Amino acid sequence: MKNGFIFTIDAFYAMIFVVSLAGAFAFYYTAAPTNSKEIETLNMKTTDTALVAFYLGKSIANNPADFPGFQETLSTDANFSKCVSRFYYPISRDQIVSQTPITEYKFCKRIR
Amino acid sequence: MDSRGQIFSLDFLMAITVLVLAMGLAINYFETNTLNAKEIENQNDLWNAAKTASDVLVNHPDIVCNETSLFAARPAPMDIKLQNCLPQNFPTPSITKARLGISSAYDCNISNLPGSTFNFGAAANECKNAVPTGIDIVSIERRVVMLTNELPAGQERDINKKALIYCQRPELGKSCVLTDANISIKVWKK
Repeated sequence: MKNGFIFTIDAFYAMIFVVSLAGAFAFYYTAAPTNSKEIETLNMKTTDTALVAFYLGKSIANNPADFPGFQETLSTDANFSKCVSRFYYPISRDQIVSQTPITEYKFCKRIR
Repeated sequence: MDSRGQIFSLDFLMAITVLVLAMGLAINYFETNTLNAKEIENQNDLWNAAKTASDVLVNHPDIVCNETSLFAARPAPMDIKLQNCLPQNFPTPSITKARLGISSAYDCNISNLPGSTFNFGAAANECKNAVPTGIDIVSIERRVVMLTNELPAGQERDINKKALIYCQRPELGKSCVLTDANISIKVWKK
């Protein structure tokens, strides 16, 4: 071994390898995964909100203050995103086919 | 290795140190993991009990609103159950632990959230326990519509088609018997 050397290049490589492996292992187990409970809650909230909007004839466009945190489009910049739609089919006893357009109540929420 | 008393090379010492550290980390991880496994399992059980109870509360045919036909005499075979629609005045008995799928190992509490004025009365006797402190509790909030009809006892859950259309089409300018509301269900282990 020459003067000034602390360890060989082989040992240096080995240390890099072990440290990288330990780092990857630690990152995998400490990184916050998307929680399944968060996803279930997201499903629950979107479904509930779409139903309430359907019963009350409200949409995000007409009543944004009633639906904070909801959008009408699916997010592509989220870890998880969910949309639920409910359709209101107007019926009339005087018409065989209703002339009133079908209303879609669409509610999307995301987990970033 | 030379002949002046050296037993290990520096490389070997470094390697052993790193190996011991790695083994220590691994042992610590698996020990912590084992200790947490039971706790996580208990929390998942609690969550599942509360989630199931909240789903049943907003879907059970004996609890939710009953959309009645405009024409047929009651009880009409065509009645439709409206999920996420709850009567302001719950008929008795309606909310029991058995009906909500809550086992005897758990206790529960159903309550109004701000803006809601449900009268649970004796309907929720089994889910009106005082909420304890210092233990794990899962609380789930559900957004629903509250039916405020003034029909006699036995018809608290009824809403006819016309009344429902008045709510669904606010542009008609008619009064609506449904209001936006939130309800909370809390579940904990006895």
